[in-house]
Amino acid sequence: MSDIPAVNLEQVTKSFGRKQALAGLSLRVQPGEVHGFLGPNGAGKSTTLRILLGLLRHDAGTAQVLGKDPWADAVELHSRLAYVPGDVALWPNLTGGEAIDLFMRLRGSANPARRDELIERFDLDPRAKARTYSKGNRQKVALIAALASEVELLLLDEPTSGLDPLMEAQFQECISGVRQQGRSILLSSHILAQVEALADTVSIIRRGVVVESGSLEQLRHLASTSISLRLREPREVIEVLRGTPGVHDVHSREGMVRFSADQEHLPQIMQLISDWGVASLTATPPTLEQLLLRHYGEPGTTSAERK
Amino acid sequence: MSSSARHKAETTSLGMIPYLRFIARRDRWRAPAWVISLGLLALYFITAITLLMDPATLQSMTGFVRNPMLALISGPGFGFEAITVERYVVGVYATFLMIGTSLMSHTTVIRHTRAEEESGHAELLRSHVIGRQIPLLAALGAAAALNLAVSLCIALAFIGSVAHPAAVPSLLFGLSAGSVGLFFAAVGALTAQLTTSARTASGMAGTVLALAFILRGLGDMSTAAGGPVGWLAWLSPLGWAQRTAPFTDDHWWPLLLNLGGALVLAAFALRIQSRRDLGAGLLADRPGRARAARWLATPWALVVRLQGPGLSWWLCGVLLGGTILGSLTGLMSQSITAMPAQIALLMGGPGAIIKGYVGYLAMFFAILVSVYSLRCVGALRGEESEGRLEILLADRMGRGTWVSAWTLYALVASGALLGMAGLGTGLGASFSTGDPTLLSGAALGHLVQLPALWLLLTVGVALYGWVPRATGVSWILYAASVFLALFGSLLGLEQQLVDNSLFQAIGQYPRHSPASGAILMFSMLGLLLWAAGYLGFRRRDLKAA
Repeated sequence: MSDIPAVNLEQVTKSFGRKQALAGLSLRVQPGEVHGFLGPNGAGKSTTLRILLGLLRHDAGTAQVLGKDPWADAVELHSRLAYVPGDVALWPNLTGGEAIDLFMRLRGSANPARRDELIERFDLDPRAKARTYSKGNRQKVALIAALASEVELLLLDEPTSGLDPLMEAQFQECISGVRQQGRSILLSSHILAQVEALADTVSIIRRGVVVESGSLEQLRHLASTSISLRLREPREVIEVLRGTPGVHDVHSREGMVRFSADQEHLPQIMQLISDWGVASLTATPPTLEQLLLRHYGEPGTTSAERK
Repeated sequence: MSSSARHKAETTSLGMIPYLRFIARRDRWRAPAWVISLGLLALYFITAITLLMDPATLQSMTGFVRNPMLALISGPGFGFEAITVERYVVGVYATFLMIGTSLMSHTTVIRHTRAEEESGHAELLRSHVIGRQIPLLAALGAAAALNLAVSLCIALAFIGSVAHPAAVPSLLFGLSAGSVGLFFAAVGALTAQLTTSARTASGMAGTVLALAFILRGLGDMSTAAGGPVGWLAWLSPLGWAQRTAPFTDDHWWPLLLNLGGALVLAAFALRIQSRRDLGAGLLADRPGRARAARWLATPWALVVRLQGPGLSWWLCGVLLGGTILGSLTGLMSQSITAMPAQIALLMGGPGAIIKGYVGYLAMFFAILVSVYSLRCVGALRGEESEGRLEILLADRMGRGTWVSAWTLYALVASGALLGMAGLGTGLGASFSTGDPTLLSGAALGHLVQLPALWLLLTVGVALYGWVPRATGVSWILYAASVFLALFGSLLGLEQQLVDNSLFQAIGQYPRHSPASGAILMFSMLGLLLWAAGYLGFRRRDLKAA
C-alpha cells in the first residue's frame, strides 16, 4: 500500500450559480482508513463526493483521488473505486440482478462468487424488477455491486439510510472486512453509531468547509467531559467551581453537582475535587452526538445551505 | 404498502375537488394543447377540403372514397352517393380525430393514476384525507371534461369554418369523436388497474385502440367490397361512433354505446381500485432474470436493452402501416384524374403518381420515425434527470461513450424503422400495381431520408451536451419542418421556403432523384453537432437528480 492519500482535497470551492456549496474545503483520507464524513443536510457532503467522482468539476483548489485528477482521469479512476449513492435510481424494467451485473461489468473488476454471497447476505431477490424494490432494496443493489468489486476506494454516501437494523449489522460487518483488506473508505453518514463503530477518523463539514477533523479520540479531546459528583457532606462548591478555569455549565440538584470540564484542564480540576470528600463521581467522555451538536447547533445552520 | 381493512367509507367524495384542481394545475399546458390541436386539426380538414374541392371535383372523388382500401383506413363513409364537403370530411377524416381523442384520454387517465402510484407520489397523497377511489374518479372526470371540450371545439371549428355547415350535425360530429375518447379514458382506467407499470398500461390501452381500429377497418372494408364480415365494425368503439353518420343520418343513439361502454369499464376499474393494494396490479409482476445476459456489459448494450422492446413494437407498427398505405398505390393511380389538382401535384401529378405517391409516403414515414429519433434523445436526458446516470458514470464508463452510444443507437434504430416502413410500403405498392421494382424504390426512397433524421436528432444531442434543459427545443425544429413539408405548398408558400423543411430538402425518391448536396450537408452537419454534444457533455457538471 502506497502513501498516496486515497482522497486529498485542499481549499476546494464549488458554486452553483450564486450559491456557494463548498467554501474552501480540505479533506484527507489516508490509505487503508475508514473516514467518517459528517455534517447537517445541505452542508456539502454529496457535492464533495460528486466532485471526487468527476460528476462535478470544482471551481478552485486541489482535488486528488488516489493521486489522480478526479475530473480529467475519471474513467481510469473509476476502475479503482466504487460508489454507493444515498438515493439509488434504477431502471424500472431491469431486475436487480441485471443491474448488479451491469454495474460490476462496467467497472471491470467483477467477482461473481462474491456477488452471489452478498446477494445471499443482504437477502435480496435478484429476479424482481427494480420497479418493485423499496428504497432499501435499491440501495442493496448498489451496495452489492460496490462491495463485490475489488477496488481500492469506496465512496459511500449515506449508504444504509434505507436499510433495516439487521442489514445495517451486515453492512458494518462487510465494511470491517473491507478495512481489513487495507482498502480506503469515505463514509458519509447520519448514523452516528455506525460512524463510531467503523470510522478511524472523522471530518465534520458545515456550510461547505471542514470544521473539525481527526480521530475520534482527538475530537473528544476538543470537547468537554461531563462530570457529575456527589459529596459526602454538603459544601459550598458551586461558586468555587464557577471560578475555576476550564469548567462550564455548573449546576446542582438534590445534592448532585454537574458540570462540564475541558479536557486540557481536567488534571487540575480533579486535583481540586479530590479534597472535597467525594462520595461518587462519574465522568462521561463526549459522545459523537455532542461533538456534532457543537457544530450543528450554532445559529445560522438553517440558512440556505443546499447541495 | 399493504392495505388494511377495507372501509365502507372509501367511496367518500372527500378530496375530489382539491384533486381535480391538482390535476388542472399539473395539466395546465398539456390539456389546452390537446384540445386546441384537435380543434385546429378539424378546422384544417374542413377548410382545406372546402377550398380545394369544387362540387365537380368532389363528385368525381366518389369513386376514390368508396373504395374498400379507403374504407379500411377511414370508415364506412355515409352519404357518399350525394357527396358534400361535410360528408367527405366526416367520412374520410373522422378516424384521425377519434384516434386523437383516444390517445389524449387514456394517457390522461394513466398519467394521474398508475403513473402516480409507480412514482410513489400517490402514497403520500393517499395518506391525506382523500378517498381511495378519488384519484381514479378525478382522472376520469378530467378526461370527460377534456373530451367535452374537444367535442365543442371540433363543433365550433366546423360551424365557424368557410364551409358553414349546419350546427346540430356539427355538434354530433364533435361528440362522436369525444365519445370515443370517453370510452378510451375508461379503457385506460382499467389497464391502469391491471399492471404495475404506467408504460405497460399505456401500451395495453394502445393495443386495444389498435384492435378497435383493425376490427372497424376490416368490417368497413368488407362492407365496401360487398363481403360478409361487415358486422366486425360493430365490435369497435370507433365503429359505433362513426355510425352516428353526421350530416347524413344524424343518429344520436350510437353515442350511448360508447357512453355505456365507458360506464361499464369505469365501474369495473373502480371496483378493482377499491379492492387492491396501493401500487399493486391485478397481473402480478413476473420474476425476471437473476443474472444479466452475457452481452449486457457495455453502454451500447445497455441502450439496446432499455430501448429494444419499444423499438420492436415500432418496427411492427411501421411495417403494418407501410403495407396498408403502400397497397393504396394502385387505387391512387386510378383516382388521380379525379383528385383536386393541388393534391395530385403534391404526389407528382397524373403523369407520375405511382412514384410520386411512394415518394410522398417516404416523407410521411420520415416525419413519423423522427418522433422515435427525438424520443431517444429525450430518453438520454431522462437517464440523467431521473438520477440513473450518476451511478453509471461512477463506473468505468466515459461520458463521451455514453452520449455516443445513444446517438448511434438513435441513428441505427431510425434507419431500421425507415427501412422497415420502406419494406412495407414497397411490398404494398408492388402488389397493388404489379410492379416489383417499386420494392427497392420504396426502400431506397425511405432510407435516403435518414440524413434529415440524423440532423434532427443531433441537434437534440448538441443541446443536451450544453444546455440539457433545452433538449426539447429540437421539437420546434421538427414541428416547423413538418408544417412546411405537409402544408407549405397547399398554403401557397414559396417553394424556396418549403424546401427549408428537413423533410423536403432531400427530395422524394423515386419521384425525385435524391439531392446529394442536402444529404452530404445534413450528414456532415450532424457529425459536427454530435461532436459538439460530445464535447459539451464532457465538460459540464452532471445535473443533480
